[in-house]
Amino acid sequence: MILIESNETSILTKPRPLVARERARAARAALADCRLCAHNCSVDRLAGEQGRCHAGAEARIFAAQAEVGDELELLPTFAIALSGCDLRCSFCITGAESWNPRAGELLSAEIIAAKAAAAITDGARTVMILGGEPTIHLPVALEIVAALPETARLVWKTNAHGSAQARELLDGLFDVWLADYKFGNDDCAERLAVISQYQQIVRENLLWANEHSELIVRHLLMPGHMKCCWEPIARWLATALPGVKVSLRSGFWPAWKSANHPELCRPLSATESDRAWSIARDYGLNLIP
Amino acid sequence: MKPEINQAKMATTQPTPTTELLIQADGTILTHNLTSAMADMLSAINPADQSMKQRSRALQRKDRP
Repeated sequence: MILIESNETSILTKPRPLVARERARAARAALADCRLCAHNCSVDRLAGEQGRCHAGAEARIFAAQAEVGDELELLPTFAIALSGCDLRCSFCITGAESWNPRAGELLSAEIIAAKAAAAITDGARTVMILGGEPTIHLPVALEIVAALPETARLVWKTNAHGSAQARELLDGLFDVWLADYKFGNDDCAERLAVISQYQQIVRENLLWANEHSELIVRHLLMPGHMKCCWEPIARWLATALPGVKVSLRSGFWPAWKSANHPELCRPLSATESDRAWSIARDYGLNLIP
Repeated sequence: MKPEINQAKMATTQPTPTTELLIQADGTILTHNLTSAMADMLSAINPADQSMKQRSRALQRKDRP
């Protein structure tokens, strides 16, 4: 695929549905030696082997509906949630579906795309593909893109733990990357999400996304993690991605296995929320609602 | 072998739009998967919530052309 690099985004030289279909085939072939996420499991998912995400070759869907809970500039969005994830966040609000790639129903890309197209006709501004983590289901995510109208504004909602291979397959296809920056240090990432080298990987993804598409960085404020997580993230964003749109989410919900971590057994306090916004202001972050 | 997809089932048994709520002791309501109907209701319950009002309006374009 030939890409023309502009100052801010990658521009496709062929119609998006055509490019997406070609890349979906490449992504499916890549499952034979799966390195779509940064775990680099190198398992043959086409042959039934399972890596860290336990996903097979097919994707399932656990929600597809118009929503208004995300960033205002993206709303209304038609959100397509794929089961399974490569992370194991204890506090995951969709833990039952995100930790189980066999939750939900088998996905027909054409049917889901038709529902999304209908939502667009009804006034949805964007179509968002999310999870779990959609990177582990890149073949089907790209098949959905191939079946969507070329003019649809697409949002890739990700944990920013994808590999370079995944990024290459995604390049130029999504208008907006809505990317999580969850943890401000590797110890919290290891303890709360069973993930190593988190800082290096997430930063690599965010820097790439900022060069290749519009980027919104989302951080879910966690109780007890202002100093260790939010403050370092805010500092890095101010330095490495000045002016990037930042979505600060204060609605922490002590869901799933949060009870395994004493500090995560409660919602965010008003004091913590105030402190978080103060940190954001101190670093001059470009917060969006 | 590729699993067979029941397309008729896919078309009819997708879960209906759903929002989850967590109502805290202080009255704060947290939402997940916020739908238009729920945004409308929450905005009506607390008209002072500007964020919810904006979200409700976002869907009004869709639901009430």
